[in-house]
Amino acid sequence: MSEFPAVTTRIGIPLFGSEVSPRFCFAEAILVVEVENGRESRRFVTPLGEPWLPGRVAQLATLGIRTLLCGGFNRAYLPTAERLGIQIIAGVSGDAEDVLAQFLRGRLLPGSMRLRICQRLMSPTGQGLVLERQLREYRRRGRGGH
Amino acid sequence: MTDHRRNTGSVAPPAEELQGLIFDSIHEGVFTVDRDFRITSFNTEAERITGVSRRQAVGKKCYEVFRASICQNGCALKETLATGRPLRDVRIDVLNSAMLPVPLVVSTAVLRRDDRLLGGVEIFRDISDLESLRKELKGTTGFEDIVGASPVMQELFRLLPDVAASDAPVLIEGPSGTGKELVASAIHSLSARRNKPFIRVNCGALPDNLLESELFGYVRGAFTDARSDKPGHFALADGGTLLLDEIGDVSPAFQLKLLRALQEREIQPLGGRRPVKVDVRVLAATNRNLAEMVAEGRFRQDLYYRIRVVPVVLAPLRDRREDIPLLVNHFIRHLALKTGKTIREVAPKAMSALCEYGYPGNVRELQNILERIFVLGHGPRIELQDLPEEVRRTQAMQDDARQDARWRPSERTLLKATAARSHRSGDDPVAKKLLDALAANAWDRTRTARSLGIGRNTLWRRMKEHGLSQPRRETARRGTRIA
Repeated sequence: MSEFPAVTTRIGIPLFGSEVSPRFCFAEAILVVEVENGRESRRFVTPLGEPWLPGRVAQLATLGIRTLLCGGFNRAYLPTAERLGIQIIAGVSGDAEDVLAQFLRGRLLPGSMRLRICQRLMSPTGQGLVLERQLREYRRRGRGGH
Repeated sequence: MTDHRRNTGSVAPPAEELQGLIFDSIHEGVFTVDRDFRITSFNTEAERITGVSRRQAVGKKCYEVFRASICQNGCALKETLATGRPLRDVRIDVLNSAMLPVPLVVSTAVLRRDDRLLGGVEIFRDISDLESLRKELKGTTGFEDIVGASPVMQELFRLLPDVAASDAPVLIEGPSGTGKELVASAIHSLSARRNKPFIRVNCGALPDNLLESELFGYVRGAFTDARSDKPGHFALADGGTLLLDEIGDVSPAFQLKLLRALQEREIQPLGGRRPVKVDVRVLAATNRNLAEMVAEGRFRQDLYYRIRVVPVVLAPLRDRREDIPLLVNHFIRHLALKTGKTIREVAPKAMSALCEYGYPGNVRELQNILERIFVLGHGPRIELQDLPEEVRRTQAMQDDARQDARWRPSERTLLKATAARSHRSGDDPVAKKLLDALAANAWDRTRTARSLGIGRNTLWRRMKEHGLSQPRRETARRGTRIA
């Protein structure tokens, strides 16, 4: 039995077909992935409300999403998301499954072209660092459980 | 061509290079895509508008770079490639690399060679300036229209989306000219009610009976001139937002009527028999200190708490001087667009004077000063002499003060002299505390500093500031020479 309690979190990826939506505000649906101890345990796709960012950020909180991997996200609403405890990793593009797999492997970290944008977005609040630490924690706890 | 080369002595670049030069000198963003919407070329203006370099953009799908409002539904390029018809002046917005929205107008066309579809081309223009003018004319403002980088304004920007997302009443407090109405308008335009009316009523400008008929409306026959029903502002704002400006000026009698309307969410038009349900979000604004008015019994406490569910306090401009250069540039940009004048910058001395002035009329006063300069000024730069006398006088006073400071003893010297006087007269509590601690530690400065919880150097500095020196008879710390 693990000495750590199970770490469960929810990741959201707004969709554009099978790809990551270029802009969260205009995506029609979101893939919600439940991750337990660094591994996917459950997933579902749910429609997003009207294309109005404050309402959508509130919807993310209602869905229990802690991390949003997305393309475009109007930076004016980053503080709102932050207050609701949601991390925004913006500037992400490509196939949603690939993005998710990379994120769970800890590869989707600041450094690539896309995430340099993300790093710049997050540097004032240190969110990029939080993400890195959190991923390390996921992996550490994941190993602890086996 | 050969003659031309001979005459000028220059060599024209090859056609391909020339095309590239032209492509990059256009003041409109241009990019091309292949049939899979992968970017094949990207000009300099496109780099500027998006903040993405050509190297990063080429080879990517266009929606990964532009993140436009129409990428997912109604992509202009997709439509053009599907129908073969060009599109003109489609109004969209994109997110640049800093994730800030940029309004654009785009036009699209197909690229063909020998009837073979190669892809498409999109030409776009940044219309941020036009957009801000349009908003101004329309009277709609988002919180991107509120200018400020000071900590108080940053905090306001953090709060606004959350405040807007809720449906709670908001009380906006602040001196005249600080932008209370702008904040109210931003709250409305960020809220779910943004497509419904936003109505502002100046409660201070109307007597009670008129205010009642304006806010609640009346029915035919309610009074002599009431020839037909007239809906009030509450009814007109149904589904939207009502701003009760200058709420601190409302009489106690009317405060009670207002409280009933806010509590019951229903109004009774003058002469009406039945109350009417209304769905209105109420924002209130005042330049008075309502808390003080409540304490003095001039404003109802229950109404105060009813309207002040979310308080927003705006600081006077003198308390956020770091925002003045930003505001100056913002107004200059707007006024240049509005008036067509070419004033573009402010001379350093003039900017310094603008930053030092007190602004009793706050941001509105700064705006008026600049408007007056735009009416009377002609040069491309605002100089010190273009500013109104009261602003220049502040600058002159500051200059005089700086000049005098060279000949006057420094503040520190004055402080020391005062402290020494106080110490001698025995009425300086800091000096007394220092003296007591020094005496208790036999004038050992290391031990005294430790006992006071300060550094040795700090102690030494404070002793100097307060004119304290070791008494001669206690020079020998161990007291061997005393007596």
